Amino acid sequence: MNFLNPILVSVGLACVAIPIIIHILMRRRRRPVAWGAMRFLVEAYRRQRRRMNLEQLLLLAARCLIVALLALALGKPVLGAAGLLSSGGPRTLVIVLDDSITSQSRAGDAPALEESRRRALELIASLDASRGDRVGVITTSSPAEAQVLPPTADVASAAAMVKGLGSTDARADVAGALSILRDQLSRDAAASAGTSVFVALLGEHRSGSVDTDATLASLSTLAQGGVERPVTLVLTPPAENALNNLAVTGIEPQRSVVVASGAADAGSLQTRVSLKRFGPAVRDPATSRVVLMAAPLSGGGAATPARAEANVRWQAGQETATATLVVDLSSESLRAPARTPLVLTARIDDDALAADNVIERVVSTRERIEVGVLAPAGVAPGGDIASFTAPEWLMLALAPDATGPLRARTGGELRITPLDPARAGQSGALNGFDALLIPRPDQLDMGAWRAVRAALDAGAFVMVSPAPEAPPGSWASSMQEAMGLSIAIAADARTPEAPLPLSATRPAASSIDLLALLAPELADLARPVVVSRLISVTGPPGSIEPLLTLEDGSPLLMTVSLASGAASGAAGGGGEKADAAGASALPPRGVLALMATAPDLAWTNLPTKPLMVPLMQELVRQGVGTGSGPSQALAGTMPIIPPGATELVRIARAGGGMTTGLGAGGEADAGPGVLPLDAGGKPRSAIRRAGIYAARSATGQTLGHIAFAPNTAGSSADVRSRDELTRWLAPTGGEVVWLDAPGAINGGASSPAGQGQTTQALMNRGGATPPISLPLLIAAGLIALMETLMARWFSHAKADSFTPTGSTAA
Amino acid sequence: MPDSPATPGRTPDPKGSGGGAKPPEVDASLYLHPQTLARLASFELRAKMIVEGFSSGVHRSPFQGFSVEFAQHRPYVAGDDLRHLDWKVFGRTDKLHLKQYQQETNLDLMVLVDSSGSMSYGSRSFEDASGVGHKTSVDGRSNWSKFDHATALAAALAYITLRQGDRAGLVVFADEIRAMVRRSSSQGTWRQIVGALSTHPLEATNRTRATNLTRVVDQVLGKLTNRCVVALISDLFMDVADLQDALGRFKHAGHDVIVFQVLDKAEQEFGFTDAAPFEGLEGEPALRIDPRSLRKAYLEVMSEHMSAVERTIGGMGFDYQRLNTHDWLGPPLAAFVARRNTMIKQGKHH
Repeated sequence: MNFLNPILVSVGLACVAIPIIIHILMRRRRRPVAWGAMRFLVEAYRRQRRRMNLEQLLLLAARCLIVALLALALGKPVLGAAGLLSSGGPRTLVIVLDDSITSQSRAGDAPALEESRRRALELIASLDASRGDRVGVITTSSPAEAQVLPPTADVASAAAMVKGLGSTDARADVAGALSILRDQLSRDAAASAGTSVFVALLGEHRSGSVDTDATLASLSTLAQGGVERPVTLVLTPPAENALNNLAVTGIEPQRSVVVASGAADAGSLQTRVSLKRFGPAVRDPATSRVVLMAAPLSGGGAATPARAEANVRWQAGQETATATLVVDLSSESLRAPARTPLVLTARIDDDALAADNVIERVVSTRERIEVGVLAPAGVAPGGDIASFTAPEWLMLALAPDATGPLRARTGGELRITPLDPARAGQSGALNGFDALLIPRPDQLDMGAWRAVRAALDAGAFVMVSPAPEAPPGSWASSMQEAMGLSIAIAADARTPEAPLPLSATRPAASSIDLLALLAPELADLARPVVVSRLISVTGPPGSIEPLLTLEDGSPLLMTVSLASGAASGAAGGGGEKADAAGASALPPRGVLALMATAPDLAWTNLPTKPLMVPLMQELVRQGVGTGSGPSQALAGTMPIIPPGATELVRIARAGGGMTTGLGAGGEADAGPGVLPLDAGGKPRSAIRRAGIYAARSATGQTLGHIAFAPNTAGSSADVRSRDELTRWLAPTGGEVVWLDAPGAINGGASSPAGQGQTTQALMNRGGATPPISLPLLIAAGLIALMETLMARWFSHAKADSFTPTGSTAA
Repeated sequence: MPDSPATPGRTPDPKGSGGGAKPPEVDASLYLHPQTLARLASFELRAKMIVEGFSSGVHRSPFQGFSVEFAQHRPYVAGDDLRHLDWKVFGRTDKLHLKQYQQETNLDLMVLVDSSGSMSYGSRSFEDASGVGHKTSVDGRSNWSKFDHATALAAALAYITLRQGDRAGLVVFADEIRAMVRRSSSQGTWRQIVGALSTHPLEATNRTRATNLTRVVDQVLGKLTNRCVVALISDLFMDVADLQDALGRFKHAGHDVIVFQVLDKAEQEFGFTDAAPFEGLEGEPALRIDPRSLRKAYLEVMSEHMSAVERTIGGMGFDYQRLNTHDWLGPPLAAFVARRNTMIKQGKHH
């Protein structure tokens, strides 16, 4: 048995000695009565001795029991079946605290989080651990996380935890938080039966943190096991004033890999910065300034960042805008440390929500891009272009202006290395290549395909085109099986009746747009290209994303999605199986592109047309950048992490970067610097703060960088009305109570959905617990009554008692 | 004998000794309350039995002897005292007859007052009981003990007896005779009796003594040469067997016994409410009890004892009167005397 007031119980039980002490003291202090008829008294006593002793014992026991019951009543025992003895019962308070990016918005001097924390501490302070109250804390920043669960009676440590909470750059996930809560409360439904459950949703409930599309978990399922528990949703009043906010929603450099030794024009990097406006000011025209800076990631403070600036002019009602800026990377200080990644930082002026005013992106720098062409040796180039084979066309396109032998060109930023397909399966043969071109897939055996798949997993760009020399059926199945592809390639190439022209329009937006830079001129470049022979590629929806299509709609160039872990043996065509396997592992980083026609004049005139060179250049450069280049993710989401990484290390940089956050003290930059990854390559805790993280292997080698951007889905600082919030929370089944500021007990006009309450009044809902256990008190009273009756019965007292006026006491 | 009611406030002098100086320690008014004497003076104290006496009085002796008033003749039987033969009848009729006379005798009263420890108990205030405004007794007690009540009764009996011209004596006893006043009808007897009664309870040695009636009776019988009326005044807190034994000896010796049982109201009701140690007055160990819880059993024991006492005394043919210290001494004593007179008169007709 537990007690809510164990000290009172101890003291009270010690008081059981009082009747005994009184009994002993009274024995000593009674004035003796000198009595003449002693012989009769002795005789009477002799006859009644046993009965009297029993009666006295019964009376003493009853008196001790009364005291003990009073002590227990003061102590308020909590019996296993849920404090049935203490009306009111213990309370469980679960604080669902909004620490998302929205909580950084400032209507006044302090961010919203500070007010939420103050409220949380106030609520926690109103708990009484001795009464059995418990507190749990869940933070809503996506993914919602249980900070203190199951609810603990250690109120002080929970308060300390709340004090240490800072804002994140992830958006709020209230639905997830309530889901966690439901699971938790369902689990300990039996243990906490009879307790009142208060769920405090603390925050300003701005649009950014209230996802009204999400379906909230029903908390009424807590009534499992027949134990009905009232759940009260306690909400801080929503913010009343919408805030104007401008957010940097994206930063897209032209290339994610910058080749340092490139041509002169490579010394600049064009970057597109996306902006979005929120709040009432959207209605008005405005001008915003965007600053873009580039600096080495680990260059220290010595490097002077390259800087570009632009103004964005907003039309009335315009919500989104894009600014294109060009930074000059030709500075020696930026180029000196070879292969040091650059950090692009886009920044706008401070506004109500500072966290989304900065976005970062890492750009890799390379000496050159290593391209391997898997083609059989001994194909001698002829002088006539009519004799050029597919590999040779590819090499020519990749290094058009280079001199020297065609097969081993080093064309500026690209270094092309022919590889023997027969040796590709050997260990390490494909290591070190950023891109692999496979114009002769018929030459690769299973081992070679597996090696290609491994290269893909490591982030390489792979392009496969059919060999004119062999039908697709001779290699397609091997490729599918070894690489775990879910696509199907027809066994024979088809020859349309008339050569098919290349479509001038780009297909619908794909997730990996490798040809974005070609888009403006694609119409002109595509016009002369026709295809007279091609292979048919089909696959389940989503497995193929076309980059270029022909007039009849069949894809000419496409990216093929790769199932994760397929190289370990998933059969070709087992798309669902592969997907199922992929659920437990990260997808490969590399990009697999498939060309439906061979770059051979017998199949298409593409190699001789102007499109060929920029197409191949872009494919390789962007493919490499997409695959092995630095990745980016939104704060609070799961990033793509290079295989082999065992930990993510947050890179703290003195200049630039995320210095905004929570203002004083740079609170947002505090936090764990090293995040270990589990066996599946996933971070053990979600990364909710924007910034740049390095993925490192167990040996400390940096495998890549990931830039986490603030999740601007939470940037909206618009307000939600109480009615909206009440409707939103209706599926939870809990009663919504507004927690208005002290002094505003009556919410008045501002609280149409219900009356606001003070913290104390609210937490004492359901009846103030009396300081004493009433049932035990009643029991004590009954025994006291019984004792009185017993004492009267035992003494045979009568009303006509005679009181002697004196005695012969000596 | 004419009634002579005593005047309240005056010290009664039964023999009218006429101005003899009283010892200061003897205050007869304490024991002969004027109200008591006012009731008693109208009655003659008559004995149920007529005992032999030396002086003439109004009491008739049932025994034939040498006296002035001839009663009858009866035939001689072997063993009769030859001195009582009526030789004149023998001379005339040649038959042997004895002369029998009706003799008038004195009433000898021997009062036996119990002064054992238990007699010192009393729950009534002295001021209330004495009726003369004294708040404490001569020895400083503020309560009216059973012994006080007993001495008042004894004095009353002696006074009435002496006033009739009969002899009165006193024995104060506990486990043995503590004090004795020989029977006498002389002028100083009453004073002696009152003096003995007023001094003896003060003796500390009596406080813890238990009654040993058998022994006392033996001692008393040794001193009584003729039959007399014995007034035994005691609380009778003794074994009934001892009481029967003692009374049997009186009966055997031919004495008439009047038993006055003096009890305190508290002893009869036991109305105590507070738990307290009860200490015996005759050396019994203290008993720590809750009186309320024991009251019923006590009253049962008490009732049984009283019944046994009453039965024993009735069985002997003696008279028994229970007195309560909270009652005036007069009414029960007067009722007793009246009943005695009735019985004597009835006895005469038989």
